[in-house]
Amino acid sequence: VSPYTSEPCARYRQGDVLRDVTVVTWAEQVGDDMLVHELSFPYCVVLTQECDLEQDFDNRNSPERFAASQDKILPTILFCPAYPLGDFAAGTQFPGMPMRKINNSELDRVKKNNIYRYHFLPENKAAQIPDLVLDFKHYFTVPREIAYRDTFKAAWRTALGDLFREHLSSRFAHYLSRIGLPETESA
Amino acid sequence: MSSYLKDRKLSDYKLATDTTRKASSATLLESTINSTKDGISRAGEAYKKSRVKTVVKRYSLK
Repeated sequence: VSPYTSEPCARYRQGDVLRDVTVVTWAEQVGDDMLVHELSFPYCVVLTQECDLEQDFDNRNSPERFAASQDKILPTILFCPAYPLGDFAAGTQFPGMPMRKINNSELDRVKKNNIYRYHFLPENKAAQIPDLVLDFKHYFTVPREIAYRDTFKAAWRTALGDLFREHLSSRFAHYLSRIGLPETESA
Repeated sequence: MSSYLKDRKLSDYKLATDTTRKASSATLLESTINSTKDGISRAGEAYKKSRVKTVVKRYSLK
């Protein structure tokens, strides 16, 4: 069973997979210059809650509701970078930020989604998506207005089907809500 | 950051290092923020080779 659906949608959905997304992470004035820091991600996945995306879209497209209240309007959309499996395994997914290599037995667990920090998405040749791994420690937002520009939306490749989208959402929420306990001693 | 950039006069910006784009235009900054590529297919298995890239662009404010 493929986790992907190619069903088009006018709005973003949780689990949408995008390719070649460049974001400005910081800009600062240094002397007489403006330095603009950019990050380009080969792939990323939308993680904003599905119902929030739907309500945002519906409310923006209903002049009456939009005029009455902008309570449901999203200021940003949450994305998680997705790294090609080979780079992830080699620890080279982020330039200038070497990470540990993942051995074969760990990689098997990653591919079965048995390590809660990572989420594996299988290759989709038709959409030119390789085997991907999301690292739940990495995420970023894009202003909603920017994400809906045609130039940005052109980065869309495919989307996760409902069940697989919810699986991703659940695992991401679980990882973010984990509680780091101090080491315990036996009494 | 967005409001900071908005508060500046965009027409004052000049590109200092990237000579492939036109200097001193609001379009330049917009394209920087939104510089996603189109959905053109890649030959063979090139789509598996994509990597994260980091760039720092320098724009002269003079």
